[in-house]
Amino acid sequence: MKSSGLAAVGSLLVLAAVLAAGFLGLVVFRTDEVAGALVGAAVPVEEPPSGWLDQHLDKLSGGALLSVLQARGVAEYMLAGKTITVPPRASFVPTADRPVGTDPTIHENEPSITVNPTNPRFVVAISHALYTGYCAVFRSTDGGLTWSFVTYLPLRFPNDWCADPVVRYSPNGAIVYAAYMSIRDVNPEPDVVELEADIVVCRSTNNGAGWCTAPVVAIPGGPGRFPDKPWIDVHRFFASSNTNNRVYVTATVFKPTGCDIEFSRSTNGGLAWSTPTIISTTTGCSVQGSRPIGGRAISSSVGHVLACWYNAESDGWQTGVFDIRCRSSRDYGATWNPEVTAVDDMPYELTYWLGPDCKYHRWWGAMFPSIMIGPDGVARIVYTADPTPSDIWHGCTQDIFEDPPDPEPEYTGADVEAGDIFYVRSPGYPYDIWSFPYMVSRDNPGYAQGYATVNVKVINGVPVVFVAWLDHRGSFWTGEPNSKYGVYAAWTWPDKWGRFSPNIQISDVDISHSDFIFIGDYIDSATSNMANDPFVYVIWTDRSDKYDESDLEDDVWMKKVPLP
Amino acid sequence: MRYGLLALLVAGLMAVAGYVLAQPMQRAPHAEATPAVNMGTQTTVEAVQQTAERAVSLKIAVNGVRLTPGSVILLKASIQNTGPEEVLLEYFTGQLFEVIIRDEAGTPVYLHSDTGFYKHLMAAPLQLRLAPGETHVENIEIKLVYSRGVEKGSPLPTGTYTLTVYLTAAVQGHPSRTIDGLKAYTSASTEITVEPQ
Repeated sequence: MKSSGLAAVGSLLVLAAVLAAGFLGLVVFRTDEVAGALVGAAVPVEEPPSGWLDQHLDKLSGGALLSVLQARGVAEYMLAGKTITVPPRASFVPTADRPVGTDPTIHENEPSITVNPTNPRFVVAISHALYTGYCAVFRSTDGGLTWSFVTYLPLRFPNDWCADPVVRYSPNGAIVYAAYMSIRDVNPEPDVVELEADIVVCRSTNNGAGWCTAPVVAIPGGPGRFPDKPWIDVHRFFASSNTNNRVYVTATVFKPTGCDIEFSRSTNGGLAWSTPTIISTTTGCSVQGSRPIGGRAISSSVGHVLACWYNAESDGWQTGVFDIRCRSSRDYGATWNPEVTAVDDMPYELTYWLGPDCKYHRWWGAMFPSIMIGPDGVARIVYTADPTPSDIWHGCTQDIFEDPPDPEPEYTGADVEAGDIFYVRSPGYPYDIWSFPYMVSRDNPGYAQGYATVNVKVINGVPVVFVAWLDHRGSFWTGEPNSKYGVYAAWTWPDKWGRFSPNIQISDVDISHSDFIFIGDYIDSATSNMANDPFVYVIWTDRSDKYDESDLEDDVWMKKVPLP
Repeated sequence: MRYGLLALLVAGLMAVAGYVLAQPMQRAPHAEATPAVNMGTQTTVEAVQQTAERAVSLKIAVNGVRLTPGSVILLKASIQNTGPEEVLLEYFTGQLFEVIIRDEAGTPVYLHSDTGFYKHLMAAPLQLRLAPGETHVENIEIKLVYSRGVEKGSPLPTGTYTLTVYLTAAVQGHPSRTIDGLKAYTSASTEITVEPQ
């Protein structure tokens, strides 16, 4: 009975399929014919007389008139008896997203990028290569249009593994530096994990084609000290004999008594490093995510350095408010000015995981600052803050330590509105005055923005400030907030009085599917100094070929974003 | 007559086609433990749980269940690939497992990640690949004290407690979920008793 019923249903389906196929065949196979008939029946359009638009030019809107005149290459134009100067049309060359690391068996994520300041043909990127245990180097010799894998960065000991890679060119483009963690399990017992790590630096002197055979330790670990989350940077816009061989590294160092931010410097192009200096120490542990950057170089002994980091404040990690704190140096990092709070009691901290309900990847590192000092000496910081307060770090839905559990907790755990991008600036050394936070990301509530990167590109002598970030607003159509992300950006320059352009999507698609655990704790950006290279090079972890957060494989893509 | 034969032929062809179509539908229930149709949300959840349990199982053992206040126990947490294919686990350094001890009222008194710095590390995740049948074991030392609050560091008083281990790794190809408000793949519990010294 059951079989015959199913057979009858099947028969009806066959009949329906035959009818549908016939109809589709009619449509598909006749398309050309129909199109041909339409073409054949088309009436030729008469060409308009040449110069017909000229009589209407003065009636066009300002923007339309400007566009027409620019397209014609007109430099001056008489409008209503007044001569106006037509500015040259800005070159705007759209580029497509470019694959950098896309091996289907390797999880490439947490990428960093740098472009040769004096020859933007050379671009170097590095990223995690999970599954190999190494960090991978990629290189482009055609300005980021095509990429090839170069090598895996060497580790300190044979069984070490790599994490948190960052890459930077020296100010004159002669050296490429890579800083990363070299981690190992030092306990011989197979069932007991006891980790040690060092922050190491490896360098290339041929635009990333060849690398060191053994890295140099910049911030050492060992028993009782575990360095984490390094960053490396240089005097990006201040190339000179005083700065070309100076390079700086910071990291968080965990100790039995708490954690510190430590700083180390090299004055000989990364070959040797100073004994680390503690630039922030806290009772217990409340700091992470530090970055250094070099500023103006006045002489061989006077040069500005800035370092900034996240501070969880006294209310604890991943709940309540947080600070961005900084210290500056006027002697290339030999001594430091007192700690300054660049962002004070910022509401609110991000949760450990991206919400809703901890569903997606690690998120709290998006609070850490991205910093840049432009050629104007102005320091800029971008970071992520959550507009909605969240409960303690561990609870996905509420504080699991609450006694008794609150059935209707005041604050939830990881929710959907989990971050916006904020920007602050300081006019110059000693970087002790900072602007009020300005929200760069503008979207409807309910979607997260985070992992911002800031950079500066000089266009026609004007330092354009560029901010890019991962943005989940594109997931609205799925009905699952934060399930998808793309890369968005905005920029500003001095004439805009601190206001940013509208947010634009810069990745070709914004359908990268969020990950269950990790897509990296940062994205990165780079610029060159060349006028004929009006681009910002942005690199990110891409998952646009994924449909499910439990598919853990990641890729790295980049884009050259043309600035107007 | 001719039309009658034609109709018979068409009907026969349709019946054959219908039978062929029906075969996969009939076989489907045998391929899965649960029927494919009319099962609703409850079965979906159950299937996810079954899948999770089939792929990786978690077992725990402690070196004693009758303990004294403030003593240190050795917890052995082992995960095994119980499925037919290799599984990939991805987890953050020092965070493959989370351990929570709850008192008799169900209130957490000890959270293992409170006792180290691993939860604040930002290093890359580690990967663990388990072949079918393969087991991975970690030994974790647990000191029976309060891990936070005003009583932080004080020995747990006498009483009966539930020790729960959560496997907090991501497992490739298996959907996410939360257990007891934590992001975890699966969990296992045992009772321990703290007795007077």
